[in-house]
Amino acid sequence: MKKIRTLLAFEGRRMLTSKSTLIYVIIYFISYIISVIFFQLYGSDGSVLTEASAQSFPIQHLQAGILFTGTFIAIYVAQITRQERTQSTIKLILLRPVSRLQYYISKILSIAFFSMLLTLIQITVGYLVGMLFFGWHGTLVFGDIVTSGLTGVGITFLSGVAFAFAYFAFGMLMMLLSEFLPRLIDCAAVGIVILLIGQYAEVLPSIRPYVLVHQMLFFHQDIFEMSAVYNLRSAIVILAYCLACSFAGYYVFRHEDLSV
Amino acid sequence: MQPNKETVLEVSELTKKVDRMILVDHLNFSLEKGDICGFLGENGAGKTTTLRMMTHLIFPTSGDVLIHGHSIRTDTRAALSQVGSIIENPTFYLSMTALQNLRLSARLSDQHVPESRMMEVLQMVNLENAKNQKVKTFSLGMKQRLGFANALLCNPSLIILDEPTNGLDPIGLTELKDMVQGLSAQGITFLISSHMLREIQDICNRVEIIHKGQQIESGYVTDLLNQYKVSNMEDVYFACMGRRLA
Amino acid sequence: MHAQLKFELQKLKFQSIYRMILLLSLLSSFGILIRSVVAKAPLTSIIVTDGGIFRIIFWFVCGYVICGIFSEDYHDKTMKAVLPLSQSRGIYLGAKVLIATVYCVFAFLIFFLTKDLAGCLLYNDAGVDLISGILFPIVGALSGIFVIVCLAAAVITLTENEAITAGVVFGAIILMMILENISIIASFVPTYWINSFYNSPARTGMLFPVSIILLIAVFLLLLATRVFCKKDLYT
Repeated sequence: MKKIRTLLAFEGRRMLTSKSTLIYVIIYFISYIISVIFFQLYGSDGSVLTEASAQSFPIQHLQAGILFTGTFIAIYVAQITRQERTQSTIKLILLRPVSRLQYYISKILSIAFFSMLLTLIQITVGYLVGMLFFGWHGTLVFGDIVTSGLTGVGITFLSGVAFAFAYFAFGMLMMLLSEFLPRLIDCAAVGIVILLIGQYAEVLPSIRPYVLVHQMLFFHQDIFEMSAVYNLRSAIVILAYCLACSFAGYYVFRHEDLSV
Repeated sequence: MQPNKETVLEVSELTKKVDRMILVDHLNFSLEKGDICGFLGENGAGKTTTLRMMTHLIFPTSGDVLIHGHSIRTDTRAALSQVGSIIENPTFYLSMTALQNLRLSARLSDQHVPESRMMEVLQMVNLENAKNQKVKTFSLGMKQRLGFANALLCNPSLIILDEPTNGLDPIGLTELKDMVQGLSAQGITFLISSHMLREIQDICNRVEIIHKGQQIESGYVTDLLNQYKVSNMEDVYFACMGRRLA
Repeated sequence: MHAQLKFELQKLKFQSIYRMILLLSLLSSFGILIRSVVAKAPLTSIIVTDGGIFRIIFWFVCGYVICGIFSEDYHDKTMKAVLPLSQSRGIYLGAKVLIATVYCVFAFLIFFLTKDLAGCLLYNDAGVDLISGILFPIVGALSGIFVIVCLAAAVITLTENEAITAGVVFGAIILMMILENISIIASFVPTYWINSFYNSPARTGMLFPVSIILLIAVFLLLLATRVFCKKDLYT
């Protein structure tokens, strides 16, 4: 556990202090400004925003950031897996008495934290931009939910947790795929292809609940609108992706000759 | 002959096959406490492959490596906890300083490594003045020395060095030799892979010579020099290779 | 420069992914044609450069190719082997800019010309305006690609980090695609120039804003070149 904590602390520090994270914050900020412009020009018909209020701003933008968030997760996963091989820094860790399982678990936890960090960034930047342009007045409107104040903030963060969970599963899928892809940019490209193609699953009602991209788009919304049974099924689907990808990825990694 | 001591490293029937190529072919040797063993062979002989198997970076097709009786295959953590190593060239996080890299490495060991030990190993390799410099600005020789410091960090009983003399100047070479012999006298065992036969002769008390993955000679340096009736390891090496090629 | 360009081109030839991308462009073009013919769509819907989903995928593929070309020497640590062989660092960077731009334009041309030429053959009595129907969309694609190439060159030179370059380039492409939905500024978004150049820029008042954006791109490239030429490289 101590070694997993050490590796996690190291990754966490890197995550928080890296220029990549700053770039992501800036990109989210710009995209939210663009969304405000959309709302000013076209109103709620031409924008993801239905309510001009800082309370609604972050939760209503979570879904719209699928390409951004998915791409950033794909890049991060490639950084902590593929790049460690190409730069041979994996040697520094595995030449110590650190088992491959401990190493892999630390990567899984890092991806989980990164997913939560990205969600937190989106929510924080969302509140910031919402406050700047619309102020705190009004209500949180999200699907059938209309609320305000701390309850609204709680709902936003709960939605964020569900959102992070789905994107964590995507991160696990990318970690499995990164075992087979030679470069970081290949991982990023494959991630984007999955996000673009996965959205076409929406046209097939019978399979879409089982498609990860559908859960990435809607799980954080469905937890408030759909039945408990439906949400349980969705959670199981996401968990199944997490488990299948992590076991398969670990199996490949465990048996891999590391010529680093 | 050296007096009988505790066996630190035991390699038995170690084999590595990739597709149809045999990279390492049933290697057998053992090292005792305090031995400084030179691991010799031409380019592509299988030295680094063997060292990678010993450090669990790659998996043997068959055979095993026992470090203080712990199998590298089944009891990896216990085996590696007593090993310090440099495999191929030492690698570090370039955006971190020397000290930060050592701190990270220390945290991953099974024992507590105090800050004083990190300073001590940096002093041993003459890098104490560069401790707060980012590794990306280090020369090859400095990285090599930092790699050695990293290998020494957790007071290992076995140190595996792959081409440790790479990038070292003559003073660095002498310092390395003195350090290795000094640590060996304290009971630390060394396995050093190198092409520098003269340095091997000066530093090592025994050698293992491999060719195309197969062991072709092994023994104590003095015994081999007597056996081949030569005065230096180069002649022993060439005699072995000549015999092998014949 | 000539030698450096040949070197970069040779590298592209050795990597099968770049051949596959060109093949996919060709196949996409035929795919769209077949779909349009089967749907008995009028000629203009084939010839018009909208391209639909292809345009979106094209820009992501461009991002992938551009990031790949600029970051490969950082990734493989071959900078120290390649740079001394170049006449100068400026030429090294310039060759990368040129190859990345030309390759992406070439991929676009394969798609675009195949679609339109094949469309003309299928619809014998159709005419295509060479200037507004062919030349301007190509200029639009070239300009848009050049903007992204300059952005990638600036980021990789300043950060020497593959992950940041990929994040910025893909992030910029996604942002631009979002901006295309604002009708008043869509024409000025580099990823939309393939479409908006179809109508002569001078007529729709695009010349000035496009020039400003291109000047910014050139400025980024000059900044990248200046920094790269003076920078200590530890790769």
